[in-house]
Amino acid sequence: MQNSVTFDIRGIGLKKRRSKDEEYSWILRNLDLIVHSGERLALVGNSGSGKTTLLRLLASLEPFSEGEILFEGKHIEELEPRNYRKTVGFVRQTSAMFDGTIEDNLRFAMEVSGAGFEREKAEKLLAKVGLDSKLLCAKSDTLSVGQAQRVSIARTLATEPQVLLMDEPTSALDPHSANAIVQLVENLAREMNITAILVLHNLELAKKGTDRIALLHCGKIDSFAPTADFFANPPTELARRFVNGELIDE
Amino acid sequence: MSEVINISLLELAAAAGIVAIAALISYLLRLKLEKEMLIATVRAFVQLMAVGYILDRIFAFNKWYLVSAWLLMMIGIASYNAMRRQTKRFKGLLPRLTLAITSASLISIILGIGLIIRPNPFWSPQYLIPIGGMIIGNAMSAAALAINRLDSEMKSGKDRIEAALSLGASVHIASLPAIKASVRAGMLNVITNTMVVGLVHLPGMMTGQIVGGVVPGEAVRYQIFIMYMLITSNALSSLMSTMLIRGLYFNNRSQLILPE
Repeated sequence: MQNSVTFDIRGIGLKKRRSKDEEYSWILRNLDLIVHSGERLALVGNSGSGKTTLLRLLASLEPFSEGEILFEGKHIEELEPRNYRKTVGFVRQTSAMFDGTIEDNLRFAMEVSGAGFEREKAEKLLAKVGLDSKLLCAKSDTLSVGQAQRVSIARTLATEPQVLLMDEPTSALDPHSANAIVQLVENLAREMNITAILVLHNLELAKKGTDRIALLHCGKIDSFAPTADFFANPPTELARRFVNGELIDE
Repeated sequence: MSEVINISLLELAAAAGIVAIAALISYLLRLKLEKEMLIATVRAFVQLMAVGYILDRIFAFNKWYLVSAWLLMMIGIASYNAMRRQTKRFKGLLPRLTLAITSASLISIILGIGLIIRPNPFWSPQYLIPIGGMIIGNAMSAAALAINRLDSEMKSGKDRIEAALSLGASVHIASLPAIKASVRAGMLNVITNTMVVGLVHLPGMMTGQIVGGVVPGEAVRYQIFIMYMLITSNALSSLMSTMLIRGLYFNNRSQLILPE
């Protein structure tokens, strides 16, 4: 179900430095990408290729140095940040639970989104990510990493986003749970036309659960293709080596 | 009460001689603090003699503008000192600290001296300078502690703050836990001191008044008053400094930018 353009990323670039004493270096450079509404896009690439940074820019968590990002035809810098972030949900690699119970975490998201807390909705959200509603009373610091990751997804879904940006959503999960999350994203895309951009390390999951794949290398898009084509006929030499599981750090 | 015994310069020199005991300890234990002790002893003498001389003049002239100038100087030094105590100093820190310390001190001074002590005139240096000094010094320590804590909370809590922002929370809501922890850190010291005041040590104001000839029963009232003022200035300074300086951690797109 690919129709209108959700993100139109044009020549985006970001240069950063870690401290005052260091030189600025480009983390992303001249990156173009178009993401359609309702599609599931996997961002893959080796560590340091810029996948997470790209996701953070799309989540409007960092300013970029050059280029432009259009969300549904409008520059994201011109959109009101709070409303934009409710529309474009971001699930971090580290779940970053808030203090208190799981209910408190979901309450926070629901209240911030302006809807107010509803227990029934909270239970449904937990069920959606495969968690028992009994967990609502559990303290957030008692959860396993995998549970916290699922709660983090439920918390983001509580704001009813149109887009889900997920940074390694399956990294802390066992294979079964990882499959369940990818299945969940597929359901969300199908039932609610949610657009999903996922940073994935696990190529098998990318193969199973996404429509297109973008391979990032040194802050640029190396190749971009429908998932089936990407695996059957890798568009570049780098993509071929990546699909074959060879190291592409150079 | 007997008359105050004045200390002559010769007696002061003898007191400095007693510091030799401390220097001897440092020498015997090879602490290598003798030089610092000498500098501290000389600096304390020079600084306080100079301050005593200037205050003598301010008290003698008894003019509101001289008293105000002295208070402003104390605020300036306190703000600069609060900034110097930060492990990370960045652009915009000093003016915000100055504003926070000035506002917190002035509110406490106006409320405390204006409503409770009510000297005539209001700016009477006898009250405004010593009490104002204590309030400003306290506001400085509170702001320094709170801001140091704010920096570490912003760094350690980056993930949580960004998680809250990602859900659509405002900068205020997202950084509220960091603000609370910082204000708490700024206030904790004075509350702890107030809890044990008089039990562990006799505080400065009370000691000064008793030596100056005031009966202890009267001196404690001043001390109680000053402790209450310190709690107030502490809370105001911690809150204002963290609220003002929080703005340096976010840009106009509500993005968390850790300042360099």
